[in-house]
Amino acid sequence: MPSAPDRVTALLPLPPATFHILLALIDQDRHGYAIIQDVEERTRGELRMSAGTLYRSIARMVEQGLIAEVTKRRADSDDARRRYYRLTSFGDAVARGEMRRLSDLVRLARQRGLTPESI
Amino acid sequence: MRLYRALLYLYPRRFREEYADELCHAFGERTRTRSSLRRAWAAFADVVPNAIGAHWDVLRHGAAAGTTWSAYGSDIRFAFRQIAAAPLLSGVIIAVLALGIGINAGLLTVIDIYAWQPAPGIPRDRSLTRLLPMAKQQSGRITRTALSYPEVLDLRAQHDVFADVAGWTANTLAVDAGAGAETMLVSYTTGNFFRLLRVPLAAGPGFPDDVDRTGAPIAIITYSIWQKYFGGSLEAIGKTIRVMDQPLTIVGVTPPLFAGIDAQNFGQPAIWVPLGVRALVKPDADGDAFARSTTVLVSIARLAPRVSAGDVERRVATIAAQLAQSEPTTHTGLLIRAERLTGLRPSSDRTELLAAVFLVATLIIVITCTNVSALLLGRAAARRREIAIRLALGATRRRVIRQLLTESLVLAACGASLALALYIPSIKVAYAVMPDIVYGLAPQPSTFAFAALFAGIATIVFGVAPAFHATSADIGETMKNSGGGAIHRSRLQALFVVAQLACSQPVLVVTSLVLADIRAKVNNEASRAPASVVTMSWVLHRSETVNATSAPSGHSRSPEMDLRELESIRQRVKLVHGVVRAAVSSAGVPRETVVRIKGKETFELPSGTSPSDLRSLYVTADYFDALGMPVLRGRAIGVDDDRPGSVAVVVNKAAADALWPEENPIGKSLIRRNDDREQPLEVIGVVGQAPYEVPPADAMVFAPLSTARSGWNAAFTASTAAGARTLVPQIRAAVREIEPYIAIGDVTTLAEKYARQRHEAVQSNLAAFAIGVAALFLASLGLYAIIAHAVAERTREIGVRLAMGASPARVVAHFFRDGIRVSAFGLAIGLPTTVIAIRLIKAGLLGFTVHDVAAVLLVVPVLIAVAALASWLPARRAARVDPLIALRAE
Repeated sequence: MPSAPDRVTALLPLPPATFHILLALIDQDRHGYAIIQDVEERTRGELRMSAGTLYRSIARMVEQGLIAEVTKRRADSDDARRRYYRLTSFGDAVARGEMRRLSDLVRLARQRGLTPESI
Repeated sequence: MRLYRALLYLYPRRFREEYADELCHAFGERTRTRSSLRRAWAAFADVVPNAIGAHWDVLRHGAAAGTTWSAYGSDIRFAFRQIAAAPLLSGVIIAVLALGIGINAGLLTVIDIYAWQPAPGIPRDRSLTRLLPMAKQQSGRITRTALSYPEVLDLRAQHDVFADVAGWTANTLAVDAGAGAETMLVSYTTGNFFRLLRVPLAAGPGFPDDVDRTGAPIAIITYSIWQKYFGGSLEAIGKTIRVMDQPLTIVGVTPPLFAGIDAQNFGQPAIWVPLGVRALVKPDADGDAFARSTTVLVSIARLAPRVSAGDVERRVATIAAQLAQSEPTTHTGLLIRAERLTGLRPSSDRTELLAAVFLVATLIIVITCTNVSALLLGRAAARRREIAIRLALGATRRRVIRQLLTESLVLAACGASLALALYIPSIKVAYAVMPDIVYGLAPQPSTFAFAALFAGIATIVFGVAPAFHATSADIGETMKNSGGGAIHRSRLQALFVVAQLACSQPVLVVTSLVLADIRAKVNNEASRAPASVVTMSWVLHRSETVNATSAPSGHSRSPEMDLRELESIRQRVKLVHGVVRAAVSSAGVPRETVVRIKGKETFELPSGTSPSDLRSLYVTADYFDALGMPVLRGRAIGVDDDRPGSVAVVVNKAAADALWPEENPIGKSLIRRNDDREQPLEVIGVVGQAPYEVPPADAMVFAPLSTARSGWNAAFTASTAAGARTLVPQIRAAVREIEPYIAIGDVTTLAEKYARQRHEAVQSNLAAFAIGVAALFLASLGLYAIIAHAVAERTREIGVRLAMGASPARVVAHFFRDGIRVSAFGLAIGLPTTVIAIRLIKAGLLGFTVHDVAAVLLVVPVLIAVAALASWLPARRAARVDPLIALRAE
């Protein structure tokens, strides 16, 4: 069995959709459609995930142990079809790993004098 | 929503069972506000790619676990074994698919190049738009079809519709690139022309942004001029080129394929100069190029982001109306249509060509699909027994369907691979034989993928449909009597034969017409076009100062002065030893006239009517004689007629037939309308076609050159006693003796000109013919395979007939009659489509010259023969077999 840091590194770099789903689940548990809405809101409509793309990602992420289904009871008013997902500690570590990777990349670019304004 | 739920079956089962409810919920929320049509589209766009991805995920996961691949692998291996077990049938299916996909990819590429891409050398861009202005007076007369520079600026200022608007116009001028002045087409453009088209220049910086304002004397040359006069050297940039004796600095070179916009209508410019240079090189041109009243610019635009094609028309209409209100004098009745910029100018002859190509492409898709479907149906039906055995042994229905689906996919993949493998070398061969036609026929991934997808879907659908049918039948019944479905099957296959013939017939008729046309072109009278007649275009390029010193009449450019000079040139050329006749006309030989009677000048009957395609040409005496055009009635234009104010005109036979059918045209009146002036004219003669001109000539009016408003020194024709080529230097010298400041270009003998035209026509027809032959092969292959397979399947029935005492000859005759009957029915059904195809061709497509319908009738026997052979051979084989063996066959 590989060590935890190795398992994190093996998953990097993350596909953008996966990273966005992890970000959506950092502050609270959400169901699928809420994740779609959150991603769309945060990216100001630039990333609009379809249902199929979302659940393919979710299926893979559940398998990889990045997220898990929440088994707690929901409020009665909630749609019975909704299933909630939360971030696992491994998912949290992977999200941080990806963030580190991206920060390093940005730092390197800045060192070379590249700024977003110059584009 | 039901559609979305149904589509979910495309996902792997486990994924579907786990997430179906949630997927539906999220999709429902996501598309709540959309119309049902957009929802349906969204459902497909969501499920299809993701389902493929999910299967891929499963495969990858399975590969990691070492399970799923082996299951798929065994399916694929089994599929290959099945293909190998029936090599002939599988081979035919693969060949049919490969041919169908290949031909279709080629045809769709042609459509793509002409109908969707901008002209050659211009990067593909959906936002490029052609602006087509039109001012219609209350009388219905069209008074202009171009814009002025201020109008282009007005449109450019509409930033919410256009990102940019450019304009251009062109003239034939004298250009001296260092090897003496020659006539070339020079295009004046607004400074943003190349930037708007995003044409990457092969060299040089191009026009600066402010060139419209500064009017700098600069030019962009074409790649061919660059190669020819500057050896493709980068040092050409910064050198000068003289246009009408004015030095212009070269600032750019266009990319190799670039020929401007609408080269087939306006000609291919050799040089592009800023609009401001027009005043420098053509001071006699009508009006200031920047004035609102000078409407000479053909316009193109790049649309603003998010402006759709549908929006443009409406918003441009509003702009045109605003312009009309602000400048009522010059904009009355102004309408501006907007059309996407494509290699094909709308409403040109080639639109019909594309319609025919599209018709053929569609029919070939249908033929391919019909062939494949019929063959697969036959194949599946023949395997009912095998399927029943597998089901009886405990295979699940799902497993059997998956197996059949895999087989279909393998067949489709083999067909597509073969098509791709053959497509690239065949394009290379085509390019070697027909470089002018297939310049852009590189394999386009999109069109190839489309054709392959279509054929693939047909294969899968028709491969799986019988699988569902076969697996739902009663196993016991199927195993007991496998021959029971033969009649039902043969009916279905007869249906396929009918569909197949109905579709092949028009394709083959087009092919045979093309073949007949090639023969006509190769052997036709055009090969008799004389080498003794030479034509050339010329342009005077003396500047005003030179003119003042060398010509007695000073700087005035009145037609009288030049006409006198023209006459001197004509007479001087006639003195060249070997020259028999010399004539001047406002354009080249009749087929190529560019002076169309529309817009500012029209020729009409006194009643105000005029055939829409009536064209005019201004000529001097000797013109008809020089070209060998016979005078059928009256007389030709003589020296006496060629004076300003002359009312004499000559019409050709086509015009006479159109204007005065069944009447003697001599002495009849015609009205020439010039702006708002009218001049009555009198017909003095009727001329026929020159013997080498085969296609029926356009309706033409010939008027004396002296009466032309402009363009009266554009073309020169000299008829000589022997080969004219060798006399060209003497003719040039004779012309220059009278007028030293004359540029001569486009020197060609009629024999050369017609040989070139014939070569091009034969090339394009050869391309069409190659496609036709491939289509014939495709149709025959499919037809034979379907019928032969159907007859072979009835071996058991043949055995029964023989056992009951029928003679082998009668059995064979029965099947033979059946085959012929079905084929004849198919041919009859296809007749209406064939008529449409013939009509498209008759509408001037490809310049067809064939009137012989006998060529069409050739197709019918070919198809009937294939059908007859396909019915006869297997029936004969079956009838020869011992009835006992035949009865056991299946």
